[in-house]
Amino acid sequence: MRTYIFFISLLLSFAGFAQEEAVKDSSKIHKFGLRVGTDISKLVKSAVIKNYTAFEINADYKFSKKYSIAGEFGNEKRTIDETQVNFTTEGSYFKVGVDYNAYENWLDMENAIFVGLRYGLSSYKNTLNSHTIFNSDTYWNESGLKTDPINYSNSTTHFIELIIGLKAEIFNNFYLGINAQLKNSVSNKIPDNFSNLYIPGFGKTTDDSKWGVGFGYTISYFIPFYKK
Amino acid sequence: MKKTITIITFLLLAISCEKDDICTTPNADTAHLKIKFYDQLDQETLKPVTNLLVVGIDNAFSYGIESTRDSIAIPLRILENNTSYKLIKDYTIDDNGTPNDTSDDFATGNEDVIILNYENEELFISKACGFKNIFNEVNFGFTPDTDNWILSSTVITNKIETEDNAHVHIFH
Repeated sequence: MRTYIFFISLLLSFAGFAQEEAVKDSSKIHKFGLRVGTDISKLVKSAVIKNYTAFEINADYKFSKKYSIAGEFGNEKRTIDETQVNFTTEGSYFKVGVDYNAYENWLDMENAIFVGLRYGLSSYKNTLNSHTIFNSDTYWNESGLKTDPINYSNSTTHFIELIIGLKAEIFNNFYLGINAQLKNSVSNKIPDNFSNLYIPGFGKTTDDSKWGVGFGYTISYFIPFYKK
Repeated sequence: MKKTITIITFLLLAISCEKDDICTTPNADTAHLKIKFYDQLDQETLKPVTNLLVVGIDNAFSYGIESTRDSIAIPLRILENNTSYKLIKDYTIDDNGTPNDTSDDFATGNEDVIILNYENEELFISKACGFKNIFNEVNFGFTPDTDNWILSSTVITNKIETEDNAHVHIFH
């Protein structure tokens, strides 16, 4: 699954930039405005993957030649089945920050190869659907499987995200983009006797690291406000 | 431009390979009850129990300890609030004078019954390990009979969470 998505992304990136290396005009016109879009990968994954639903709206507002204010808002619901635990995490997140566009556009195009920094806040709740008590001695022949759901108190996670990606205009003000995200949680409110194993907008967590990774495939529309 | 695509490609590849979580946390498993056997007269000195056989009450099988030893680690039931064991000292099979005929063999030994009462609590360890059971408010006792080999006992800790130290001392 992921491999397919990955190859599609490669194709997209090459298609988007096939016309690069053209003559660069130093007297370039910049268009300033708002670009609003959604993450297609989340829509596709919601349709394809069982036990996963997600939606994200993203936007960036170009306020100078190189910089944009950028942000994402979304929600996710995911059920994860591990050997010892089966749980559902559901909640919303927003991320806000700045993107730096490192790409020299020609004419009045607004393509971007960008690096950005975000502050993220995720608010969600965990439900333990079932779990197995780790009891390797089978002498009493007891099944440690418990199927009574446990609802935990609300969790919040604050995180910092580094995002890198590109956005290419495919036709009149419509942009296709891919990005990869690296996140680090700075503060994590953990429920009693459980942990935040999946965080909406952040991703899976592991036992021994505060890092999360993610990727996005966006489609967005650019609304130009003025040219300069 | 090409460099950027390469970097993004690598990042995406990195995302594609997920690390599996394997349970490696120490003491993630539910602990056994650890009993040490001491001399009744010199209570600082370990004293092995000769030919000890351990059998859970209401269990069709023995726990498989049939040797001379100064400590045992035995599992407690996690779905009940109590567990009982027969501890049979000097366990032997008497062949009734007919070594070739096993049908009339009978077991001999001094059987004492120990009883543990406790409260179960689930403790979250990690995603890979899940939960373990810990035993709180542990009470230990043994059933008096006409010839107890167990003379007295001491509960060292009433919370069984790890197997690092003995939880109960038995004097004999």
